[in-house]
Amino acid sequence: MKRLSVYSFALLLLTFWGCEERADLVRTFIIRKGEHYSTPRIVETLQTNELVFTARFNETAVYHHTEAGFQDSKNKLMGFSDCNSVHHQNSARFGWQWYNEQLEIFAYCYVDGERVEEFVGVVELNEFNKYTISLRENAYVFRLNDNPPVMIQRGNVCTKGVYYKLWPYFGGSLPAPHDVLIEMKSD
Amino acid sequence: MKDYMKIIMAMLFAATSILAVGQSVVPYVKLEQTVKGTAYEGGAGYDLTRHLQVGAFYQTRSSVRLENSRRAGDPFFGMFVMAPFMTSKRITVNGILRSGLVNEQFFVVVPSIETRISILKHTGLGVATSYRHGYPAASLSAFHSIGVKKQRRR
Repeated sequence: MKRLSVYSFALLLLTFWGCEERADLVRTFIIRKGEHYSTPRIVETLQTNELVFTARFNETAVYHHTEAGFQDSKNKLMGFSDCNSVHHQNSARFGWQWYNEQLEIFAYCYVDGERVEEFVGVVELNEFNKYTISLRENAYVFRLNDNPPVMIQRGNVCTKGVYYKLWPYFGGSLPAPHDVLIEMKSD
Repeated sequence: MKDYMKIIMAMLFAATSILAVGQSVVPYVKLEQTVKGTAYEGGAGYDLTRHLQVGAFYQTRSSVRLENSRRAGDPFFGMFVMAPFMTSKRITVNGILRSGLVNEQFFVVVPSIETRISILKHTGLGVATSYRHGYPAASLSAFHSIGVKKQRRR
């Protein structure tokens, strides 16, 4: 019994740790027609002061709202709430919109309850692009590929606590006019 | 680093105190495979009751490769609570909840289910699955019970 247990343990060890390569996992998020939230729904918290991921949009990111005034409403890609804050109080996210027949990427933050948006860049459909949000002592720094970084002042928050991640969300006020697919890979 | 020393000293003091009153302490070592790589963990639990163990742990990875540099391996330390779902003579299935700080800043809660197999009287091995970084993780551990368990009537 003892010998068998030891052999079994050694076999498990080899099975699990034989390959040290880091997993390279791409998740496909779908926002269904008429919905705001994406699936799968994931509960995860930030564990370092830098959120790095790659994302790829396809033709489903192209939409035209019948009411043109809603076309510049920002959809959300990914980000996090700041220390022990709800995300409408203090958070940092990448936002996106289909506007002027191109996919525009924005920094989208709440700072002490005030919404702050700033243009970051434009991405092509069907290409993976690298997104980074760095959490500095007094600012969020947004980077899209090698574009110039965008800095947004951080609110008055604690330093130790829960920073929950925020996932793709359509809107604004209007829900997705058709299914929207976004592929994402955490770094 | 001073903080880690304080934690280790506190754990040693707690372990000594527990042993002094005839309870058992269960130190363990663990390898955890997550989507971010392999993490190494050490810790010790204390049998609060027959069905509840509490303890402290420290986990780290080898340094993390960044684009132009490396950073320390996301140290994760804190407390855990462990309670059995099923027990038999040699095998116990436990639910474990670890909570603590990663990188001394980010509060994290990690649920796990672990199967522990006793190989010797006080020594055994554990296999567990957890939820880390948004994905399942697997771990293997070895534990050894130190001290005298109170005799309980069955």
